[in-house]
Amino acid sequence: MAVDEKTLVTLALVFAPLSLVSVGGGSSIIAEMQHQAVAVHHWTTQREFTDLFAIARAAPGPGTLLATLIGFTAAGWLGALVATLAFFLPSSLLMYVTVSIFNRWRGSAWHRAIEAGSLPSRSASFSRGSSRFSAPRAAACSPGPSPSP
Amino acid sequence: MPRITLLELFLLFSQLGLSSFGGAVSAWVHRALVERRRLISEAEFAGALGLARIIPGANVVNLSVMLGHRLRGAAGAAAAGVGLILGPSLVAIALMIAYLRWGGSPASRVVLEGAAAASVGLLVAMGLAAGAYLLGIGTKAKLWTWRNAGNTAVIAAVFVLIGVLHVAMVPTVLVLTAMSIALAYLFPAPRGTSHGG
Repeated sequence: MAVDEKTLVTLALVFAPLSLVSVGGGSSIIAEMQHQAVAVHHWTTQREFTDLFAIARAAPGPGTLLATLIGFTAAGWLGALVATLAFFLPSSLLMYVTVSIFNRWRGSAWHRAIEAGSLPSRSASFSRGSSRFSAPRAAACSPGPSPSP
Repeated sequence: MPRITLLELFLLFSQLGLSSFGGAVSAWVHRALVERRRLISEAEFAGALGLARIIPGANVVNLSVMLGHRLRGAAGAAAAGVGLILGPSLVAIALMIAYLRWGGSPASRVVLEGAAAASVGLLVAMGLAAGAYLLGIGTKAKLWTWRNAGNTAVIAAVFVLIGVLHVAMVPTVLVLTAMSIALAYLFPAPRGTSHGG
């Protein structure tokens, strides 16, 4: 398979920034992936994109493996590799750096606030239904009483 | 003597990645590392998950990087992250090759369109549920507050700018996220309504 270097570079340039704005999980950037893959770079048709989306969701692992499949369609195995790295590496590196800093502050007030504040929402997402949680200690981080009317 | 080797870590996350269909991987990671092997404490896991959700990227990938780092340092982060992604991406490509060969047949069209419709429905449901949660719909909280008005404006702006007008997503999201955080700072959720947390 002929390797199209320009396509590989374009794949990296499209997916790396998307990696860093996928706030709140991968599903937030699927619309933009579609716009880039279909309308801007013509890697897939609209129908193919929908099919790839279905395949990525049906396969195990995160649904954002859609990036891998778009890369594969655009430029074969190398394309899949480049798109996967471009999509998963930047956010993972950001996570790594954040964790390194986070661990340096282990035991500090805001570190404990994040751990304590995360527990109620975690149990909420795992087992919905219980009526009220006590106000999370994360309030320690919030900027005081509400100034709103 | 580490309680888990790099290879074990890689294999564990490969297994978790390969057996995670339709999301909820975090629950499996919790089961494997907190409940079964007791390598991570409950509070630590909660903190990791909270952070994994704040940082951009697939939540479960971030979670794996963080827990891998916790257990075996930089190499552990790489082993967990690669383990989680590698297996499923190979499976996805295998499915893709099958699709390229047989994707045009009527039977496969039915399956693919059905699967796509289900996934789109799931995304829409998730979006609506997240929106309702954000605005406190279905709770006793007062619906008309400046904070809710601001949140609604942010949601509408993202939808129109990106979904309808196709403005470049990266700058749009960066600007609107900053605005949204500023808004949450100015108008904090009233105590006891347990928005976020």
